[in-house]
Amino acid sequence: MLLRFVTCSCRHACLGVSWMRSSPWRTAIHTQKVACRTFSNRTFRPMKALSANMALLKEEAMDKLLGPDGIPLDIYLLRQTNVIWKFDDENSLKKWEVSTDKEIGGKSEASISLGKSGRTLLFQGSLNTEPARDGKVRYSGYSTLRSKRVKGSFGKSKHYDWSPFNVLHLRVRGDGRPLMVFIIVENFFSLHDDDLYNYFIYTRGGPYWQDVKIPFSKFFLSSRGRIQDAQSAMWLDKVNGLGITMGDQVSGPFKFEIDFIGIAIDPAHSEHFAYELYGKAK
Amino acid sequence: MGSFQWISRSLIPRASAFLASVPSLSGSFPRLVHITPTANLWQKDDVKKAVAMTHKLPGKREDAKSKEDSEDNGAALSVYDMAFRRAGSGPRGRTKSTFSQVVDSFCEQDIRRHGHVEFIYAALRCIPMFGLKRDLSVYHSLLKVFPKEVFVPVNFIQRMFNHYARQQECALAVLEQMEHNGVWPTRETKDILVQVFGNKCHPIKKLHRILYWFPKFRHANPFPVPDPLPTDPLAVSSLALNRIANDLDARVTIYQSGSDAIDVNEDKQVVPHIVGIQSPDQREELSRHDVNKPLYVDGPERVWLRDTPIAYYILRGDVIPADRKNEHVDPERSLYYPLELDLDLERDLGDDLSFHVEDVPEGPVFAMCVAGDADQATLARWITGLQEDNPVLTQMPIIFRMTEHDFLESEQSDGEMGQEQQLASDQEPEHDSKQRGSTYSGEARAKTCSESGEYQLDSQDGYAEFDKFSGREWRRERAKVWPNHTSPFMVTRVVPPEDPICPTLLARVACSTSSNRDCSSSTSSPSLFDVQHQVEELKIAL
Repeated sequence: MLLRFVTCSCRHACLGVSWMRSSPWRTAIHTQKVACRTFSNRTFRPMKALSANMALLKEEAMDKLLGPDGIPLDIYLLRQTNVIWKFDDENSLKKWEVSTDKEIGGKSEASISLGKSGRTLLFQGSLNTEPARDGKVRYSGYSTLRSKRVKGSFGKSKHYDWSPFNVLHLRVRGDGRPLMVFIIVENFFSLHDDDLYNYFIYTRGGPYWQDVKIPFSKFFLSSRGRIQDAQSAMWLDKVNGLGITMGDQVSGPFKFEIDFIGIAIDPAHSEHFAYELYGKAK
Repeated sequence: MGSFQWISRSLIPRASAFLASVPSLSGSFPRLVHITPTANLWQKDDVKKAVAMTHKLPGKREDAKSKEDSEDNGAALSVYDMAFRRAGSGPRGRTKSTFSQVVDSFCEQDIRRHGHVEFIYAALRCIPMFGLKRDLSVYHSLLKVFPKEVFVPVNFIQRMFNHYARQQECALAVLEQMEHNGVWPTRETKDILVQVFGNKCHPIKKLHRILYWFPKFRHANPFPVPDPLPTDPLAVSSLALNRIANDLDARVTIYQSGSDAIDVNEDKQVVPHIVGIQSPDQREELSRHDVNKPLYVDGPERVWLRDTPIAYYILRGDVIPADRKNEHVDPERSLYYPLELDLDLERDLGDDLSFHVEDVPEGPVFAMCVAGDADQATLARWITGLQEDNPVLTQMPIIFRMTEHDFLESEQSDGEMGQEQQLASDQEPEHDSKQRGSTYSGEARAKTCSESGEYQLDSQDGYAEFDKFSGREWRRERAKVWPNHTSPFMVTRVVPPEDPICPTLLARVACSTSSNRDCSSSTSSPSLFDVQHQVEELKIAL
């Protein structure tokens, strides 16, 4: 009741407030999913953004009443699998962004679209391993698909909590080229901003689908493209996102289709971390 | 740290000044001062100094001299020598021997190995051009270019700081290129590095990292590809097919082993190879397929075996709507006491259990093949070969939906079903005998299509025309699935006995399908073309 009142009163009372146009507001609101829909014609409409955010806030509050993540507690506690990303419509593609080595002067190309059935994500393009002639880049040729950060109301950062689960489960269809899947977790120090936990996806190729199950314990730590000496297991309680990189050092077209990306509990898997945790040699 | 960098940095101009002052040491080998994009630590003032020194040296190459003539100010950064390019463009080409000859001549010319860091960076860039990027001995020869024992720290201060940083950086680049190309270092690599930089240096650490991580992921790939790939296209094709089929029961069949140019009626013809795969399950599924519904040959699709793309084709059916999937009920199953106990303990609320990996959204797959030519005639020969094991195929119309894009180009996202064509092989035998000589060429294909004029359709009424002999409403479903196609396509059935390519196979097909043609006559009087296309029909179970 209170929420509804706040939402309504804002819509009528706060019209044309100038501080709404200030840049913190714009950047904070611009990044988030719901508010983005109101920015379709590139004019900032503070009332729409505010109401969208309030609606989101209301949704969050109501979800809290229902249970964690808006799921009733008994289901939340007992679930064995959880599909994080599936691709039903164009809106599901908006949660993902593609980047290629064009950022560093390369020539690879990539794009995402819905698959022919309209229920899959098709990540395709062409790799070019020719490095930029800038005197710094020595190796090139990658395309990356990564999920956008999830934001709550008013630009609040939200995280996935995957800690009850121990296996990443993807249903994919590739063209025989290996890819790398990486997971970004929340860090405290800005030094760790580039930390990624990586593992490989080996695709079979061909017309059939392929279930890929990767235990989280297999993911190894890398930063800025270098495997780190000091490894550690991923902390899964604050996961910021996931990405898939195609960069197998082969120039040529690639195609990778994802049906869904989920997480699961594999009770048979008890490994905590697959790599040695002792310190490096002095 | 800065002072030590100053030492290492200042040494190079000093050395070059020394060399410039002693002409006998400089020799005939050109000074290799590369402004390499790979040298991150390369300081610009050093370049200027070193170049200024070497610029005045005798024995420069002609290209350097001409460049010097064009820019007469001596301070320009201009002196370098394309030693590897020169060696590669020589009569012996880009081989390992020419590469190592350049490396050897560099090492022999100067006992102090002046400019070796630049030389190694240049050599690293040239390794892929010489096709040697997987060759360990080449990397060893580059590491041996470093002078031994000069860069080994001798006291704790040197060891504490980054002793000879540029040289260590260069050795790291060599190791990184090895790592990048999957070349495993050996004990010899370590021995060289210890001799050059001592046992505690950055290159040794890098080596240890490589040797720590490489074995961890050596067998991580569940679908390994032999290294190197076999050169025989048949072997590569069967490798690719076995990999994508994902069925241990599936059998690879070589329908046609390719051959080089064969002289047929003074026409050079290349016979493409056709290798197919089919599993018993697929065969059974195909035999249950409605004969009035068409099958499709889709392709080419791409599968990569490491860095080799292979084109494959798929024989598939229409998408079966979920409500029309017929359940196979065991006749002995009691309705009151079911023989199955469906206790799926892993089942959960969110699970979608309707999915099966072989239920691909494009329709069921019945067979796959790799063909040397993206030609309808070639693929029709594959279908002909399939008819031996799948007699039901003789009654089905086959539609060829070839994508016409260049295979190695990147695909457009929506242009997949752009060109739809169908093979016109439902011809009279006279047509065949006329065209035998040139079935494979492009003109012959066009001719084949035009001769089957009664089936030549355009996109508007194509479906209706096709209904003349298929007579089912599948066309509407198909239009639903691929609404965007606009290209004209042609329609016919693939009927086996008229194919001239494989007489023995066809005779068997003809007998097995109880056609009224005389098997013995077709095998006993083969034409010249038949004889020369003696296609062995091998079946290998891999």
